[in-house]
Amino acid sequence: MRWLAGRLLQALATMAGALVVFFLLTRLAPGDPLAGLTEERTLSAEAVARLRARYAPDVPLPAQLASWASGVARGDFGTSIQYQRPVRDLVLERLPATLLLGGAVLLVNFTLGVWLGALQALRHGRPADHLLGIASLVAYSTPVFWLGLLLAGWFGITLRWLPVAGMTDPLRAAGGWAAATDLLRHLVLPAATLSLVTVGATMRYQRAAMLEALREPFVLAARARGLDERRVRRHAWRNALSPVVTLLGLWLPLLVVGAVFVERVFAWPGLGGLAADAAAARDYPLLMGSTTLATATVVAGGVLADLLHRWLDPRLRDG
Amino acid sequence: MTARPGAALRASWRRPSGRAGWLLLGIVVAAAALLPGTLPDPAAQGDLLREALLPPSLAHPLGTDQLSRDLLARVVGGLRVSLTLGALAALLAVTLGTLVGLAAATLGGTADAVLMRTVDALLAIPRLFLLLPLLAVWERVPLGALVLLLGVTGWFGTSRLVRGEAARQRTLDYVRAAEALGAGRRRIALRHLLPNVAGPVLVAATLGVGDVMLLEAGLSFLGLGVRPPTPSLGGMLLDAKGIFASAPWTSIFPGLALCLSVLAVHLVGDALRDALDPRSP
Repeated sequence: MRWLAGRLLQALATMAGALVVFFLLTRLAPGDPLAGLTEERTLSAEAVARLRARYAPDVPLPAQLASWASGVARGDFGTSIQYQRPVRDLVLERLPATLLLGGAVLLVNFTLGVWLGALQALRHGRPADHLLGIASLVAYSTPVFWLGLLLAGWFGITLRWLPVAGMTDPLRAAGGWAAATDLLRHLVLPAATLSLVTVGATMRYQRAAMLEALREPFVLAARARGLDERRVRRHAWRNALSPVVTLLGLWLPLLVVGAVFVERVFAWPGLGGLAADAAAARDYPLLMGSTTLATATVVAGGVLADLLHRWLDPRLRDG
Repeated sequence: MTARPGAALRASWRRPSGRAGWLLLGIVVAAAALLPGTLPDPAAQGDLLREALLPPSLAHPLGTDQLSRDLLARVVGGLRVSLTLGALAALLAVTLGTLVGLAAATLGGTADAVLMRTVDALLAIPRLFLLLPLLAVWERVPLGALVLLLGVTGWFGTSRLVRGEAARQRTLDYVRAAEALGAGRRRIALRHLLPNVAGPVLVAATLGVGDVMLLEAGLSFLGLGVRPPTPSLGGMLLDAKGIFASAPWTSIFPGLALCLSVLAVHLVGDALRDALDPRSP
């Protein structure tokens, strides 16, 4: 419990630090965060006053931070200039889509990525290992938005196999089996794009973890006792898994950052796409809101990964 | 761990994957350095009605974009910007990280704890999100400022790496001997610790170049990084969005150039790491 309290405190301090950095860095830029607030985009006088208290360059930094923090404590993230609606509502509307996309990508990583990485370790030094190693390095080096453009162009536009924009087809009847299939068909390309570029990292880590486990004395002992190779592998596998759980803390940044690009390419109505749109439209309140929430997700994911790790590895609990 | 960068460089060349990486990197760098002189100006437009979106041909080996500019010239120009930004920003990041890491390891105590907790906190924030709010406000960010920003947001991992290795070296006999002989903190850090952390730093610098190249392209793809008319691979992909069906070459080539360059950097970085740490899988 004491450990958890300390870890949560650290996470909160990180978020506070992140906010200070966001505001400080914005001050460095020679521009007005509220430049997007033009004649055509009129907000209520009250909303503008609140935005100015948070973002106007002539307000002292501590006052800005205080205004921000007190707003967030009340669940008020400001008003979006572009949509003229509360940032909180926009973000909450977009959350389910991101969770669905992220969940699908995590599933692929946890299954395919972990399996391929372990396979590489078992074939260590042989052609299969080298081939998969090169493939994972190529995946790791591929710009996610480029892959998205190519997959959308080829499978969506040239072959017309799959939809390339949005999450649902507005012309289809809502509800039921047809709607679920429609949603899955929309999910395939964005999820495949993000999975392909993240699976490379997963494979590399799982391969290293499995190689480490195979080198442990207990594997030698198991072989010496005459255990058949399949059971030996199962023992090693179980021990190689715990480092991969820490990967959750590593995947979340990859996933959240990747979502910004993938959701932009596929017009997927998620949080990452919202941040990208806000940046492109110079909608600073919305950008700050979505960026802060995305950062919070990553930080919270780190805490969760540490918790899981301690649960799986009792040695860490006693230490 | 042997930490000699020179030996590591030679060893990385002896590995097949490392050699492939060096050769690929050589081709990419040579193209970016030498080709622009022989190619048309990347910003030069032709006849907008007849020369826009031409498929690859002898006159335009990679075709033209929607503003009738030669795509090969643009890709090579973008590659040059990308490699320069990557090298300079990674150099800055690694220098900052090495200094902070060495300082933490030599000072120890409270200073060490404060520095490393700060680094932990900063590492938890994705680099893209550190840059997004700032770049959204900075309408026309100059390339120099972009180098600074990418460097200043990229040193956290290196500092932790350097601090760990330097702290380990500090307990070794040769450092204790130097201390016993009266060497000061600065002398220990620069004369004894620095050469022995040079290997890991070299690896971090190499991989950092790839990170910056991908990040710059991503920012430009969002319309926030390198601004036109300076050619940028990410910006070209942003322009190509939506015209894949009629002009696939505008999507394929800029991304392929970026992907191959980053792959070359990663191959070299991996080979260097393997050469420095024979135990690593």
